Amino acid sequence: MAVKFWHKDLLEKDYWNEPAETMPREKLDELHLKKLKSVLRYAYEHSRFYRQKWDEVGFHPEDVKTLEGFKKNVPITDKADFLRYQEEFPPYGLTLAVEEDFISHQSKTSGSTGTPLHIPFTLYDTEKYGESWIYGFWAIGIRPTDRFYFAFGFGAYAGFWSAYWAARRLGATVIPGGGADTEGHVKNILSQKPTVLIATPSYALRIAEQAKEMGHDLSESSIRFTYHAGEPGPCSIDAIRERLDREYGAVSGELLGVAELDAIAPGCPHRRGVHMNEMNTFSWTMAPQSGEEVREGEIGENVITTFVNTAQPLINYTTHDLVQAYNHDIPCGCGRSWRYLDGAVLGRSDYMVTVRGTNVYPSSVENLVRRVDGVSQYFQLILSRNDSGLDEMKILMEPEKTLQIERWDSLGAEVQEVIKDNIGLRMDVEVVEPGTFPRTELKFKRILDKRPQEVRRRLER
Amino acid sequence: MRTEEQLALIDEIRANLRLLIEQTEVPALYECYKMADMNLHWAKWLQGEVDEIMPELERKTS
Repeated sequence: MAVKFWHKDLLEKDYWNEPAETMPREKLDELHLKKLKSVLRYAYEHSRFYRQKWDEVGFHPEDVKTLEGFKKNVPITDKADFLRYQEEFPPYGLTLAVEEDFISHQSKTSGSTGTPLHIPFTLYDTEKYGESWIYGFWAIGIRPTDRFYFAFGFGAYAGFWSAYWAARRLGATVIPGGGADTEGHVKNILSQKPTVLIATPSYALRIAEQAKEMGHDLSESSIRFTYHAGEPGPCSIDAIRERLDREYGAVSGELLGVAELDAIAPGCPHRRGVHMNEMNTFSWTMAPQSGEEVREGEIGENVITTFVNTAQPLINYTTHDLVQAYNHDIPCGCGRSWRYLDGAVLGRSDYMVTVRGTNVYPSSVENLVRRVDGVSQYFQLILSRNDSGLDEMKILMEPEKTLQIERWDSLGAEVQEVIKDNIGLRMDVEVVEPGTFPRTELKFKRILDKRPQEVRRRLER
Repeated sequence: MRTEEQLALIDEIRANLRLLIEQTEVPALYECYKMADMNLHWAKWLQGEVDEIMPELERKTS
């Protein structure tokens, strides 16, 4: 008889870690303060970046006596701080808190704001990072007895790897789909019979569509769950949840991750929002303008301290994600006490869109277009959703009036190349006649969002 | 088993593991003991018992 690894009574538990996930707020806060003190002490002693930054403003870890004191007195950091040091002293700048040979994995961000951020992890960091996903898996019914299909190649992004770390930690079966094209993924799903599909929401829909073109209906396949990250998914947008559930005849779930921090917030089982993993993070909501904490339920930026990334600690780190968070009287009703983000991420304080799975800041595209000689100030970024459910960005631009018509095509190609080189995406570029755009508007509408209302984040509608 | 009892047992096991980590001369075994210690540190973390954020720091200070 084959060896069994799990007891049935454990598999039937509703929670991956019930005492932690239902811990009363007072106890969670008590724990956070203890952990934060430990992280502050650790960062000050081991990271030149933090020692320098805090010494400059006269902050010392011993100053923190309460959570309120932590939020108010610990200097805010963001990605730009880390990028600056990494550019100056590659690969990690002064931000490392461990010896380089202690790093077991390096990831990077997509570089959609310009330069990619390198993210070093220790082995322990990767284990904890992966486990964050499991809370969400377990909540919707995924168990170690499931078979995961990964519909992506393993590049440098933390999201893909961490999903793999999660499935390993859970003890489930891993079926890598790396190297296959969309048709190959369909064939693999039909022949390998996985029960869980991991993909971005838009790519999962693309796979379902491809299957139909091949004469297959994936709602009749072995897939029982689909789980997603990287774009607004089933816990963020009702229309996406409904479509994913329908296409796969399965239950879809979503994880909110921030590459450099952690798989920060696994989906709530009621699928209208996500819960911050409070074993791995401490977070609060900040008004973008004033830097003050907003009241519970008011929209503001999610500011996070991770307990996961010890190689490169991230403390009071603003994500620029706009959230509507609840620590008390949590409205989802699932029974978890962990901080709830209603609708997950509602928008970006620096406005970001996701084009074919890559985060793109329209402002950075705008800056790149402006770099090209011959482009006038009249150009527009048009965001739309194609038939496969993928967001697309197209650039419509007027050339300078002085530019000869014979050069328009090469101008368009040059803009396309600059964007491809810097962001990694090929965008359609169309050169239109000078005078095409109306000149009467007080402010030129740089971004035109033509996506259906129901697939946009709440604050982008 | 009550939480307090579990935590006490983890401490006892980790004290023994520490001896093994310090005294083994076999890299393969060193890695086994370190992984075991890491997971036990994590088990404490998940139950709200934390001294340092990584086990190596605790070994350094003990």
